[in-house]
Amino acid sequence: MINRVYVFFIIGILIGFLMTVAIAVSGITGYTLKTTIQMIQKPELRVFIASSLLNVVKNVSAQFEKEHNCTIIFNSAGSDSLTQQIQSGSPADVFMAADFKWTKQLQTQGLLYGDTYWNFTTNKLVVALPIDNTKNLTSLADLTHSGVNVIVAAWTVPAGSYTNKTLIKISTTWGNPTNPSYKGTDYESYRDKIIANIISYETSVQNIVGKLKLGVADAGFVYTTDVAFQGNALKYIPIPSDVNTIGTYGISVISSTKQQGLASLYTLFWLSSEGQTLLKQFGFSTDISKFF
Amino acid sequence: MMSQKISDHFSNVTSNIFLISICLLLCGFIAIPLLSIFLNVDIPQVKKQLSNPEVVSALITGLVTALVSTIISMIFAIPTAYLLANRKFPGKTIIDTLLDIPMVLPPAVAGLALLLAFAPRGILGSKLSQLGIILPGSMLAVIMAQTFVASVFTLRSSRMAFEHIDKRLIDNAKLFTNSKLRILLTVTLPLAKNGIIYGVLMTWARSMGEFGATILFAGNLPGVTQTMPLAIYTLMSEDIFASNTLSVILITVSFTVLIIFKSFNRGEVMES
Repeated sequence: MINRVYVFFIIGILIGFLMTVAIAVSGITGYTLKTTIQMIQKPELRVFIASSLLNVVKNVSAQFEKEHNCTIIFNSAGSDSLTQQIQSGSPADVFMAADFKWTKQLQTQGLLYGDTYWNFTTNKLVVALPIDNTKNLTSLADLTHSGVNVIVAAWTVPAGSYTNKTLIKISTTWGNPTNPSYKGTDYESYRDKIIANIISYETSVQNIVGKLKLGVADAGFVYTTDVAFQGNALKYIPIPSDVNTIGTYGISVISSTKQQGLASLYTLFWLSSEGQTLLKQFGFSTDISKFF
Repeated sequence: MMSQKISDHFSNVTSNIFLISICLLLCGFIAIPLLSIFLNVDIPQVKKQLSNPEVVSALITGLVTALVSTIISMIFAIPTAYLLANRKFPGKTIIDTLLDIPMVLPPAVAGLALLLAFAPRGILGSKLSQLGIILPGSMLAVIMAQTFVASVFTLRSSRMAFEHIDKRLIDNAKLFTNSKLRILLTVTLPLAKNGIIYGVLMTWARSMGEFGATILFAGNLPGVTQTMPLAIYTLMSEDIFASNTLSVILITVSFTVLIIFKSFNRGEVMES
């Protein structure tokens, strides 16, 4: 009896081993098969992209894929985490960041192809409101009222760092009695008053938009492009340009790319008048001449 | 006979080697990432972070909310577990399945579900906001998220413990007393103790680590809804080593509490 149990046990182990080997072999052949097919078929272009750009960029990827016979794969997240992924060696071909400080950082670390990046578009902030605007907010001063719930992006992501800069600008210009553009007591220590009303520091602008649509907060600082893309789903209060913060986007080819040609073509597309027109349609500013 | 003994011995050795090597592979896979967190940290950094008010408040927020969630889970999950283990009633399977859902639900889905129900524009939230109660952005929302995700551990473990009690022991007890409460307190609960404690500990640990449901439903506000996992995630973009240090602090605190509890019930909790 005991002997039989052991026989079964050994047979079990053998079957286990065989299955492992079979899985490994099929995995390896599957992998080589996949890569061969890809080699015959189409090259892959991995685009690491700031979440605020995803909507506009997705819009033309089919056309680019067709023209250049390739497949574009998007990896979208906050520019800061994308930078970290590239630094830690994730395979990437093109990097489109919402703040050129991240592309610049990669440049100093020698991670950019040809050691260059381009500032290819800009974006600015607005205060987005849920469509029903229950607190009847109409001006930036209204955001300081007690009981108004505000959400912002965490100071560490580009949208958040721009929000912080704008809040500081409002406090020091509109809220400074000795400043010629002083606008009244509502704006004195404006940043502190807003911070007292903040109910969440979100990790991406997309979360702010989603939460505003659910009525989680009464107002949120987002990009103009986010409100533009939402159409009639959100209201907004514009932020005048003297206190607004302009976000400059950077595009670059990553040095470890195996698709230099394709990646450069893709980058050039966004710098071309066609790409710039498209960005404009989605609410981005195209006044990039000053960056060259 | 001799040859059979040798072959027995041989197969014993091979099977042991096989099992041990499989076990070691699994241990390595779990241990290496955990070790990397500890190897990347230096002590001055930990000291520095422990005096950072944001870290301290995240730690306190986490400990307080996890404690409250655990207590709420105990109040609701243990009686429910007792009911499900001891009574038969129509619809029991449906209730059973419903209460198991949080176990398999991705935490992000749990957070979204809570938002759709309790956010000011949600199904119940619209009524609450008329009363002036806004849940997102409050500590109560953190507790709700944690209870939603973690109470199932207390429920499952206590239920199993109640089911495994030898019914003859209860019958014997009935010979001595007519008080059901007395039987519950002196026989049933002591016999189910290990399973209940194990479940409560798992609920606490899961609450301390809750991330997805919290950041979606309660939001990320230092001092109010920012627990340790949220602080770790927020800091990651700024300074990956600082968030690594926070991870070390979180793991150490959680482990210490678990070990203290386990040593109080030495051997017993481990068995269940």
